[in-house]
Amino acid sequence: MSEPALLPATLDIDRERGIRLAQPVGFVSGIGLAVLYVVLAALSPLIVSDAAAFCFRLALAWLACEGLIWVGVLFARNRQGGVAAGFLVTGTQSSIILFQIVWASFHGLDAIFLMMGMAQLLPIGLSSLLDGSRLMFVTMGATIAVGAGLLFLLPQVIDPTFPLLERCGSWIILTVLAIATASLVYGSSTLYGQALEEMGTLRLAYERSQQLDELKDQFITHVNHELRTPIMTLQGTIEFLQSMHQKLPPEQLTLTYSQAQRSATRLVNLLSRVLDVQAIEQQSNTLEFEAVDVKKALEAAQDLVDPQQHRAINVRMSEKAIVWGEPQMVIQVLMNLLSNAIKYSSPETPISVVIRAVPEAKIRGQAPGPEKPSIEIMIKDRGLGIPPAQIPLLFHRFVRLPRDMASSTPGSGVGLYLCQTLVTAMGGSLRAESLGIPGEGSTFIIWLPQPPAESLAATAHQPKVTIAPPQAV
Amino acid sequence: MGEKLILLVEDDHDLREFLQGALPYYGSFTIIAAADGITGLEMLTEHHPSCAIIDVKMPGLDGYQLARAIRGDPDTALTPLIILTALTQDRDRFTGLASGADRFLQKPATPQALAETIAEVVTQDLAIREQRLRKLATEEDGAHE
Repeated sequence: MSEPALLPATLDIDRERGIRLAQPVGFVSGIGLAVLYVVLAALSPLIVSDAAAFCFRLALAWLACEGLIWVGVLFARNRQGGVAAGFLVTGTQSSIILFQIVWASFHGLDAIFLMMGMAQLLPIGLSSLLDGSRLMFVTMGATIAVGAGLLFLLPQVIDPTFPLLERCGSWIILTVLAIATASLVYGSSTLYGQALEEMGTLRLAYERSQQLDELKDQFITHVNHELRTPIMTLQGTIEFLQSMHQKLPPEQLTLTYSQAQRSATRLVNLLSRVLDVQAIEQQSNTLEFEAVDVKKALEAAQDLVDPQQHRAINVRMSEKAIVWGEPQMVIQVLMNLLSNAIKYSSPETPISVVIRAVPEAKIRGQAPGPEKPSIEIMIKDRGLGIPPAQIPLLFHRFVRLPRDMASSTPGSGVGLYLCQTLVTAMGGSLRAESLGIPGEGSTFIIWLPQPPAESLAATAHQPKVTIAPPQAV
Repeated sequence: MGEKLILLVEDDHDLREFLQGALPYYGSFTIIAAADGITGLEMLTEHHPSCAIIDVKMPGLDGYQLARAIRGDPDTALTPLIILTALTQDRDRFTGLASGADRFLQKPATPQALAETIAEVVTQDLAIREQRLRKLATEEDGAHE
């Protein structure tokens, strides 16, 4: 039988990956190219004839553009993404403008206008990929404004005979192209991302439901099997009594009646455990809590699980322990855990229960603590232990560890899930610790909140055994 | 016919205790019982019962492995085996292999049904049983090729 490895309930999408990639690239390119730009601007008189004025204007334009972009970063939906986008945009625009200068030095200023379209296109597209949607629009606005500025300022300053109107047309086309491409890039990347996410979520939901189906099947098979043996004894004893009662000596009659009763009780317990889970899940909103004496609850649980006291259970508690909960639920949880400790460890090994108060964990970084002042009940056995990798699975609704499935240890598999549901319903927590080493055993730790201050005046209630609890076999 | 010695290998304490006490009333049987596969194998080799009733799901050596062990030992190979199972799928695991059982009973099985099955298998002709086991063995060899 394969080990169930539970799928997570929600898709864990790495949204930060793009940002993580972009940040260093953007940073390096932005800063590095800005430095390079300054250096080349200083050297530019050697490259372009009217270079000083040209570079000055281009520098102004660049600064304005980048400045606006960084303003946009302030409004980015995702600050980190915005900053990364800012760097990336700065970097790419710087490199493009740098390229423009070099190009212009060989091919004249006309060629710049072709470049300007690209200068707008790339950064906008890139920034949109980093999920800074407002940033994208600011960038677009900035580059359009800068582009217009460059268009009108540059040629007039450098070459008064520059054919402005002609250039206007090509610039407009390029700008429209740039906006269209940017929108396309943005739109498609967003849609693509959304589609991936949806597909991923759907696939995950499907696989998870398959897995739950499988677990449910396993559970049903297991319960089916577990029902048959006590039913066989029950049916057998009845048939035996029916056909043979006249021949039987009194001791045999008595024995057979009690065998029948034991089997019937086992069946009732098995069913109760299964149905309890559903009931608890449905009822958790309508619970009424009261102060519960842990010691008395423990004694009641012990009495039900092991009335003849075949196993010694060492209980250590420093002071009176009262928790805020529902008495039946507390007993049920203790019963399940004690019963497990008894079942999964050999008779000569000790079982210990330690009860103490734990304050709330106020400081992060400390060992895990409860949210409110609580009582800790620690049940430790020295049995086979639980392989640490399987501990998270223990509390799943239908799971039983592979080693239990192969053995005759009776159990419906809902025990720990039920325990955890009950404990959580009372505002507490339940966890298991084990090294998985036979002989070291396992430890189950329950935290249940102490009664709220205003109720401390009231005395603890004796746990009443009202609605039929799981019966002793 | 005389008392037949029947070995019961069943890990459930209640069922084992009950059958051990009740079955003798249904026929001239003496029941010896084991709670797990290994003890069952030991008792089988020591006492040579007329038939063994084996539960499938047991800790340690399960019913399937026990049956193979029994069939594997020429000393015990001809012991009639009655398999008690809760699952109908188990049939397939047993048939087709040399650890073939003589009878399957699905739980819950009444003591009456058990007794009748026991009676059937212990009176089955020895020669027929030998022949059947030989056939199963050759089938398994064939499957290995």
